[in-house]
Amino acid sequence: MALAKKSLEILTETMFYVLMAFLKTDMCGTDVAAFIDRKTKGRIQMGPGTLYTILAKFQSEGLLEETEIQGRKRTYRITHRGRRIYAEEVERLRRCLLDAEEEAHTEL
Amino acid sequence: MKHHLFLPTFLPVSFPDAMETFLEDMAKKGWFLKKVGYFLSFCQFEKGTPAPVRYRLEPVPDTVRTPSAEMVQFYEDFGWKYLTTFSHFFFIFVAENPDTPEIHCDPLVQAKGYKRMCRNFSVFGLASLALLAIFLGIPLYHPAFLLECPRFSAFALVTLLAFAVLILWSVLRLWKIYRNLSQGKPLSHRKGYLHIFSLQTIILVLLVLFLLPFSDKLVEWDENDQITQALTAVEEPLPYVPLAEMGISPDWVQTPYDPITIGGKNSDSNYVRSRSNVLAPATFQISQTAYHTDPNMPAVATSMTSYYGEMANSFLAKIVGMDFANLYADTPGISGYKMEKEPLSLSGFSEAYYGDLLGNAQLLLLRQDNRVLIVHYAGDASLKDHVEDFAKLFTQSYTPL
Repeated sequence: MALAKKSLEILTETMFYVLMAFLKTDMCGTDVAAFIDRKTKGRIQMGPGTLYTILAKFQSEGLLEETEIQGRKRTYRITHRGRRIYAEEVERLRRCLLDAEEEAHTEL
Repeated sequence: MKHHLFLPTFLPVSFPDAMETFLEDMAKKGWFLKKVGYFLSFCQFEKGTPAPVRYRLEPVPDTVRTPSAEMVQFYEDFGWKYLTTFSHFFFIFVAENPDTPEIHCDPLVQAKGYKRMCRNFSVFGLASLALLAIFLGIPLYHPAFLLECPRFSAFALVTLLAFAVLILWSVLRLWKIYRNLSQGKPLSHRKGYLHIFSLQTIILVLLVLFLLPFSDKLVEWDENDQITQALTAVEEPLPYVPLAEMGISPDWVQTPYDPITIGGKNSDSNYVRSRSNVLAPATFQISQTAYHTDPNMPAVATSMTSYYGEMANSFLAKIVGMDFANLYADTPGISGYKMEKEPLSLSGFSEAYYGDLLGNAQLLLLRQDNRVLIVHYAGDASLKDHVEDFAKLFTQSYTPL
């Protein structure tokens, strides 16, 4: 488990948005890409290679689990561990933002 | 009927960007990739209407030859169609729609695929380099071969070195791609390929020539450099001590030819072989044999074989001397035998020693700067009693035949 955690120490922006996509509902790959495209207003255009790698990695790390297989299409859902990692990342980003805003007010 | 084109790409796997550019350029001319053969990466193209399609090479995730059905469907849902596999390392995908998003949008995630590939390719690269090192090490193990076959040796060394450089270059380039991706730098999908094609083609041509009878031709030319003559036919001074001066018994006879004929032809038994090239301006291999006059005795009564060489430098003289001494000291039927060297006190010589080969033969080695003499003698006399005679051979130079 410690090794798995170390592997996910760095959550890239695309990984973060992939986790975000699963917060409210189960999804398949194309749904995730569509969600991210909508959420970021086209700033991040998720490619199949990136998404395929992230989904496989999150599944092996226990952040996502498969819920349904329809033909060749797979649907995933976020796990408790996935939600915890996501929450930790949100908290880390919030602290970064607070530090940045504090620094900006101090300069003024 | 669709037209087909078969083209060897000769592109190393460490240039995925060059391969993508090449395929896209072909598509703009109306040639679309259908399949890549495993041997020499022969690409099969099919003629169609020129179009600006995009090709992308994806590192193979594990040891499979084709992507899983799930992966194929996944990529197809995004507009990328699986075409074929390139060597053991890449899956090739194609997108016809220019609005299809790129396969990768996160270099850090893409780096994971390349890391695995780098490791696998490095193992393959190291294994190839180890094999090449063995071949490249042959001249060090048997340096006399360089002198006997200089043309073939030079050609083989150049070819093997070129291969080694290509493999090392490929491994290093792959690791550079991985490093750039790990630092967040996206992979470029455009790269010139003509110079890579040319370099790889030259190296492959060298390899083909090496394997073809061309290398046999080089060996033949090298062998033709060697002149063989009966000792009695040579008037110029030669670097050897005649067998008669070693003490020859009246029971023996030293004839120019072997009394035991082979195939009805007389073969020389007292001869000199001489050769000259840039590494060794003058070398002589001299064989002398005397036979018993009594037919009840073994045919060969005594023999002496010597190698004398004037090399391009003293280092060559040293290693060639060692090589020939090992060859002459090789005792058939007794493996692992190590001859004891008895150093000789001889002024003006860098190296001088005597060896007894289990009482059956004797060896003498004398080396002075860039000149070396090795003598193998099987007879009743002692080489140690004639060291001064052999040392005198170094007081003059010799002209090759």
